[in-house]
Amino acid sequence: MRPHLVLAMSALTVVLMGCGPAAETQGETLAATVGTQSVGLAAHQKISIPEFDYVEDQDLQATRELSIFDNLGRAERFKEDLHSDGSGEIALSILEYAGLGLPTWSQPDSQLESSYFNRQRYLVKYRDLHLGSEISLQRNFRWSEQPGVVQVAGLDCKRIFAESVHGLGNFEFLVTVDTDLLLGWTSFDVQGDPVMRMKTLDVDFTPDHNGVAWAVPAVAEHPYAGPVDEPLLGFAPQSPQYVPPGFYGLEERLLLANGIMANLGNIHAALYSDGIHMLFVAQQKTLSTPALNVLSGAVLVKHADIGGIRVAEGDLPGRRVYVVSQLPSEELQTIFGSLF
Amino acid sequence: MTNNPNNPELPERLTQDLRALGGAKAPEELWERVQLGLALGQVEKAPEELWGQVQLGLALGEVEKAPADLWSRVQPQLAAIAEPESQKPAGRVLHNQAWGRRLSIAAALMICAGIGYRFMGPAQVDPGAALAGPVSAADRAAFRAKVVFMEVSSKELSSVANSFAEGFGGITAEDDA
Repeated sequence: MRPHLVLAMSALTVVLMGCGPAAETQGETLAATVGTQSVGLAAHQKISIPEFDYVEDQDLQATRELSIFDNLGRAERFKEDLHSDGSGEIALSILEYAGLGLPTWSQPDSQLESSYFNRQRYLVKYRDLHLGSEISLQRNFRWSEQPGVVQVAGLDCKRIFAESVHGLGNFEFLVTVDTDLLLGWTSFDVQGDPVMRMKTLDVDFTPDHNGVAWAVPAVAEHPYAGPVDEPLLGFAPQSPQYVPPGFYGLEERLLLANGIMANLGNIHAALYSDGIHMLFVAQQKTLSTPALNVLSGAVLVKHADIGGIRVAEGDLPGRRVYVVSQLPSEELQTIFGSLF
Repeated sequence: MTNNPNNPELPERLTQDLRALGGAKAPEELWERVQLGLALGQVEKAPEELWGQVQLGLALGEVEKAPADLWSRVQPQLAAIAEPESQKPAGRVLHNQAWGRRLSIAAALMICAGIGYRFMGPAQVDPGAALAGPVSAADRAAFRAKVVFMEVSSKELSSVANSFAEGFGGITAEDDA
C-alpha cells in the first residue's frame, strides 16, 4: 500500500474502530502508531444517518474537480463546470483535464468533451454519490463525523464517514454545515485506497445560465413490465441468485436499443444498491449466432477496470450479460455465476 | 468456413498455422475490418465454442506460442490483406472507430435515458425494499466456479460494455487516447 495512504487509512481504521458498537457519541482523542510515528487523531463521533442535499437540486453553478485513481495512487483529474437550475435542468461539461499523475491542466480533446456531453446527466445523477433507502443506510453502514469543520469552496463543511459493515468499501462526504449540501466525496476500495474523489472548487448560488445548453435525454425506454415485455427482449431475463449482502433492487428498465441501431438487441437493465454502492446488471439479446463460450461447464467472462469501474461481460445462451460496479471483481464474478 | 460446432477438428495445416500465430498481433486495421465485417454480417463467424476454447487456452497458457521469427514472415501477408480504404465497398463500410463511437454514444444515451433518474434519494425508492441476506461461502464459491473470469484490457470489451462503465463514471482519457 502506498505510504501516504498507510497513514490515511490507519487513521481511518482507528477512527472507524471508534465508531463500532462500543463507541459512544463522545468525541475523544486517540493515539495511533503509524510506522515509527505516533500521531494524535480526533476520534469521529458516531452519528445517525445523515440527509444530504444535492447540487443538481439547487440553482447554482459549480466548478468541480474529479480525481480517478489508478492502483498506484496516481490520479487522472477532470475539472468540470456544472450548471443546475434547481428544477431538473442540468448541464455538465469538462473545462480542463490533467493526465495520470500530472500536476498541470490542459485542454480536453474533442473525444473527452464528447464523452462528457453524451453522459452529462448520467454522470451527475448517477456517478455522483447519492444516498439510498434509509433502511439500507442504517443496516449497511456505520456513520460517523469528524469534529470540526473544513473549508470547501469557501463554505464551512463537515466530514462524514460511512463504513461498509460488509467490507465492500467506505466513503467520505463533505457537506455544508448550514444546508447539508454535498460538495465533495471520496469512495474507497476494499483495501482502503481511494478510487474516486470529487471536490467542489467554487460555487455560485446566483448563477448566470444564459447560453447554457441543458442536457436532454433522447432515447425510448420504459420500466420493465415483466413477462409482457419478453417479446421485445427476445428472452426471459434472469435475476441474479446472488447480490452482495445488504443490496436491494432499485428498478428494472427496458432499453430499446434496437430502435437506435438495427444490430443492437434490446436491453434489460436492473439496478441494485446497498444505499451508496451501485450494481448494474444488463442482459441483451444476441442477434448473431447464439454465443456460448463454455469449457468444462464454465462460462468464459471477460472483465476490465475502466476508470475505477469494473465491468464483466460474457455470453450466455441467446443473451449477452454485463455486470458493472465499483465492487471487487470477485463480487462481480459471483454475481455473474448466479445468473445461470 | 464450415460453422459446425459439433466438428471442431480443423485441417492439420490450418491448425498448425493458427497455433503458429499464438502471441502474434494482427495490424490494427485488419482487426478493425474483421470486426466491421462481423458487425455487418459480411464475414462468417467462427463457431463461438471454438472462439471460447481459443480464448480460454490463451488465458490458461495452453496455446502454443509462435516461434519468434514467424511474425516477421507473417506480417507482410497480413499487411497485404489489411489493404487500404479504397478497397472497401463505397457507401457500405463504416470505419470501425466511427462505428464503435456510434455504438458507444448510442449505449451512453440509452443509459442516460434509461437508468439514471428515478432512484435518487430515500423518498424515491421503496422504503420497504428487502435487503439481500448473507450467502454461504460455499454457495458463493459454487457461483464463482461457473465462471472463468479473465481480466482483459478495456479495448477487448465491447463498446456497449465500455459505455456502461463510462456511464458509471469510469471515464478515462488515458484509454481514449
